[in-house]
Amino acid sequence: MNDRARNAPIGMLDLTPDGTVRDLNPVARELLDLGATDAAGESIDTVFPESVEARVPGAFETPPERERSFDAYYPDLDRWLDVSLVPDGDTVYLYLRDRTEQRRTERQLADAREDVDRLTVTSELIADVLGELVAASTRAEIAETICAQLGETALYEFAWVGERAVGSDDLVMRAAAGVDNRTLDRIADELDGDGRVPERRAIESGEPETVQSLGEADAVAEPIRRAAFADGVQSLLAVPLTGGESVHGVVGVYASDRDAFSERERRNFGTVGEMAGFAVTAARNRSLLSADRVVELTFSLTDSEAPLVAAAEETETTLSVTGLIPDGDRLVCYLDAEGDAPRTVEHALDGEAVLGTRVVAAGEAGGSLELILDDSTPLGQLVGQGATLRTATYDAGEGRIVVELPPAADVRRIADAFTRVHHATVVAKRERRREATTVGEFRDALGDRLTDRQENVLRTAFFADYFESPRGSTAEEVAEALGITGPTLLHHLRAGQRKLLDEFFETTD
Amino acid sequence: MGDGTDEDCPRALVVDDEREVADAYALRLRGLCEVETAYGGEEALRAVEDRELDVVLLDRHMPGLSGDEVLDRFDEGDFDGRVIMVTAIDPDFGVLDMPFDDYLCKPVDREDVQAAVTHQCTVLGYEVLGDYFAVESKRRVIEAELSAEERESHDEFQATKARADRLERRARRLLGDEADALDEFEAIGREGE
Repeated sequence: MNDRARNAPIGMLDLTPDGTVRDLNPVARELLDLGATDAAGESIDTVFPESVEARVPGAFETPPERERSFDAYYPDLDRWLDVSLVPDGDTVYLYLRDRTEQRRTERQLADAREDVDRLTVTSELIADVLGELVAASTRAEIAETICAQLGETALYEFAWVGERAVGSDDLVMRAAAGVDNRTLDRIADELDGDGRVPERRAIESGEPETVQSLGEADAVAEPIRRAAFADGVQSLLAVPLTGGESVHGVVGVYASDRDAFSERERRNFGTVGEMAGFAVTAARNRSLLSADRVVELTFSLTDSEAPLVAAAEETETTLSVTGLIPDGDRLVCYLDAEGDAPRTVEHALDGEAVLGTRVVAAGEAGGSLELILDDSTPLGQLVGQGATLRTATYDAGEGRIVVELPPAADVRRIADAFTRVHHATVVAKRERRREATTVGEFRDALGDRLTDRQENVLRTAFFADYFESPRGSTAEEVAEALGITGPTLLHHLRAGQRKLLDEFFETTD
Repeated sequence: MGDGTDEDCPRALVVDDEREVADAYALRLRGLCEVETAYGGEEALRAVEDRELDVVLLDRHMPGLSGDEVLDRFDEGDFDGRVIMVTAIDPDFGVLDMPFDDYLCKPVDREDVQAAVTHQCTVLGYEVLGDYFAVESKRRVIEAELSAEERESHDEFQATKARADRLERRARRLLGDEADALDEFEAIGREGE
């Protein structure tokens, strides 16, 4: 072997065609971990380390005749070698290159790429969950939405949503979804006061909890760890559902992959927790609205700038609101008039806040009207604060407006805000039981079924006497009041009516 | 790939998506078994279909088809060998009521992997031996009722014989020197000669 070969930056061996080593350079000696052993005269079988396929020694079973190369891992050396075999007359050259670094870099790259793919899919999934949470309206729906979305993807094995039981330290499983397995059953066994489940810690601390290797997690009850190991469930993330200062519940997401919950995923899931907490708060407020006790406030409104106060005074007519439908930033309002003819009243209703008027039914000394107001009007302001209008009657320069508020609402703040802006005083405040629970329940159940749009359309059509015979308003007129087209109105009406009937027949069965 | 000298040894398959790991285990089992390697779940399923394998060392967490999924497919198919799951974690549980026959935690040293494989071979060996005794007894019963020529064309006899031969070979390769029970069984005269 000449100096050029001896000093070459790659390993070189010089062999006879039957595989006996004649000479090798220092790099080859190093790559093959030969140390100071004198390899000359040895067979390739003893000089070359073992690999699974043993293709280099195999190539010498018969004298090699053509160039070949072999890329293999040598466990004893913990090294990847790329070996080129070049026969040249009565000599066979082996050229050795170390490929270990390259192989490991490729592997890291593949891992990193996988992480990115997973993160992309997770982000999309979380966006879907958030989207659905916005539409969810009850606690049960929120729990089921989260579970169904997270438990039924291929990314995770299963998910469950838990809440604190009322009056004890126990947890209650509200919803669960995903692959049937034993882990979830064992978790269900550990929900009482002192059960060791990670979700409990999350609910107590209000902070997300991650476990990367569930089988080894001593803080988790052994039956759960055991089942998780058998099921191949490795990691979990427990996210508290937080709304402001309070923790409403917790969602546990379980994965087979140990690294399923990176820092970034934890943050993304934190958002799900907050969003779900927010949705729970909203659902709670909604249920307060249908609570059986309400606060009733009566205002006296003497503000001559209020269109209804002014019109009632000007025409010496008594106006009473029979229906009020909030529709975005405006109100569709139905009035009964007693005194002057509705036409006259219609003319008297003017001002910037009046966006439209229409006579629905007209008689000599009264009738009914449709009125569209913007939300800066007294009625608009009250509705915007979450009040429900019970009655509003305008007569001789004064309006009497009775609204209901949930007991938890900030009644004083709402009253102050109203009397500060308008010439108005609170003339009565009382708390009372909500009327007719069966009707209330029916309405709540129906409210759950109807979309806001459907409810608005039904309500507007009803107060516009669309359902009277003969019709007080045509479909086109009702549609116009709502700023939608006739066909859209009919579509919403039909869907709304179907749900109404569904609920009715189910309820009375 | 076996090195050609392990013909009468148990047959093992090492499955790991990390080639370095699979190859290292394969070398650690040389001399004890005839070892094949597979670098992914799909490849493992093909290997099991191609050939009767006795013990599979299965990496649990592989991209694509994971070890757990491969195990499910084994259960659905007719794989009748033993499965040792190789995991990255050490939960220190007994294998009782686990879906696999044993598990090892990475990194696995030579003695542990050899001991685990030998143990599974022995367990499987005695299981196969039991099957062999049952089938061989049946074969002898049929044999006694048939003449030499009748046996040649008797489908049930031929099938039973083939099955008994296959089980005997398998039991011998799994149990090695421990297969004495076979010779004792052979020695029992049942025809009351």
